[in-house]
Amino acid sequence: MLQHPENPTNTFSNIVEATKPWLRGRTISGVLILVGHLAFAYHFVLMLLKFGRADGVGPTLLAKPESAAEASS
Amino acid sequence: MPGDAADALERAQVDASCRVPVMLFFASAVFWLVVGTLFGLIASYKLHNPLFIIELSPWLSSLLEKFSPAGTVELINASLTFGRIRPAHLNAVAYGWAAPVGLGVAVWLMARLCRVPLRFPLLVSAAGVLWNIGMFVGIGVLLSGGSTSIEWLEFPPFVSFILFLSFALISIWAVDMFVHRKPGHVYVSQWYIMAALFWFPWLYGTANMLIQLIPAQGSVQAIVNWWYGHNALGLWFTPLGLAAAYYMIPKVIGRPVYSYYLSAFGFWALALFYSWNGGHHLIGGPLPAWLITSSIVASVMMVIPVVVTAINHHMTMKGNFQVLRYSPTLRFVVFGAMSYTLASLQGSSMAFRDLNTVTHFTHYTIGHSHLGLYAFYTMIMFGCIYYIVPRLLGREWVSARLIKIHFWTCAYGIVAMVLILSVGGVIQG
Amino acid sequence: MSFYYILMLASMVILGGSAVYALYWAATRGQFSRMEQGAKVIFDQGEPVGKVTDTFPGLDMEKEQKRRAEKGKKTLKRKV
Repeated sequence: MLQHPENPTNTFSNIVEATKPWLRGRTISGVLILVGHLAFAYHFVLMLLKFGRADGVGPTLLAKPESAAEASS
Repeated sequence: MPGDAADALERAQVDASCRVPVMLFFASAVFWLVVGTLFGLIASYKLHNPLFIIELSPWLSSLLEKFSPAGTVELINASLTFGRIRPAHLNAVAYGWAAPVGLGVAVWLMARLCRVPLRFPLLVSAAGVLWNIGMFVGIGVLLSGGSTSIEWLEFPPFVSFILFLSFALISIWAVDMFVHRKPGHVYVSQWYIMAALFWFPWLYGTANMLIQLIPAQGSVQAIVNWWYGHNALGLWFTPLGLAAAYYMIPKVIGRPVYSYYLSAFGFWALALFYSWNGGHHLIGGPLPAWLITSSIVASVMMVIPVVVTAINHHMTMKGNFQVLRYSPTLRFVVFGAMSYTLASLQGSSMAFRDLNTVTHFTHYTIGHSHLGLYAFYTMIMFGCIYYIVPRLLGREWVSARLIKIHFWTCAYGIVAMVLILSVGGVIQG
Repeated sequence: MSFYYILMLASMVILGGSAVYALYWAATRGQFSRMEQGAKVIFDQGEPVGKVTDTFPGLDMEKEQKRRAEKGKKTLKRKV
């Protein structure tokens, strides 16, 4: 596949044709990425719609400003 | 333990003050991410199957023809042609996703690092709304064929002005925050953010002025174009990505940066060397040789801060790699940080004339640009969103599975894309 | 043409000058002393050095570590 650049059979249109399978590959990888983004966007919207746990269990160990103010006063 | 609680309270107050403005930026960024990804997919498909709308769905076309006003199908077909959809993809992902998500992260980081609740939230929110107005109008113009056809600056001048204005508001806000910060040490991430917020309006403004208003013609236009394009990457997106990595990696694993001296050194080296790189997009073009050569030299010099950063991140992570199993933020950020090293070294290598004769104008370059803006920058920003959003909204993420799907599809997807384009590009050359 | 040169020169001066000024400012404000402490500025008493501050939602680290230990897999050992 790797030919000498001066080779006359290497016309521009031949080269463009040769890139086609790679471009198809790119489209497939793009589909994979789109799936990831859709999962992310869906999850993000779930968060906006208040679906996550807020009871203090979990990695973020959230402190609520109002309740903490009560606790310290 | 009063110390804990006081600190947690302070952090929670800062986070709560950031909620509306930062979520506004994040939500719009996620929207444009999906739109931009769709555009990219269509663009990619169009390159190997240009007639796909007609091929794939003749029934859809005829359905549309029957039920919609005359000319709708042509309009849709016209707006999806490669010449329009490619710049729409570039601008949607760069100015619609990448810039706003970076601004959202920068705003939150500024607030956290200044240890002061966000001042003038309305100002930041106004900037966000303004930005979106610019985006909608700009993408609309692009899809109807009004591109300026200057890479990275395809939006019409009045849209660029709207984006510039929005940006300037954030920069002013950042200076105000900095002036009102709690006294003490200024963390390296803050240096990067302040620098990015200072450099970008200057870059964007100068480039637009020179290209749109004056306007610069011929070779000079090309120089300005790529000076802008490359600097947008290196003095805007890169500092934001690095600022995020320098904060997130130590913060998540609970260990300070390995060598703080090295991180400061890396910052100043980036500041000094990066702006000369722009010329390397034009190697072989009709430009003064000294310009091209200095850009090649600068591209090689960039290896120094990049390697320094890589060593720093690696040594900070050393002994803590198992945390990757448990932290979504860390997975994304470390993937991104490693990609930064790879993309930058690849970029420096591409500046050499010998390699450049093979890869210039091929798909290899596209592979490289996605390695930088996606594998490095976007993955880091994903990690930041996973860290920041729970703290803003006061809730945990809902589903670990969704996060894992996101990570693995995108990680495999981008690796596949970069490899395919790199190999294909070399063969093409 | 001369307008370009003036603009570019002015930009370079502003950019370079501001970088130099920033460096000077940082040096005179003692930003470069006690670098070790500087690195620790992002931690506080609530999120101290040594604490992992992000995991998957719904993940109970203690239970997870026990589960892994029982199965004979590697558990989390960290270097701080």
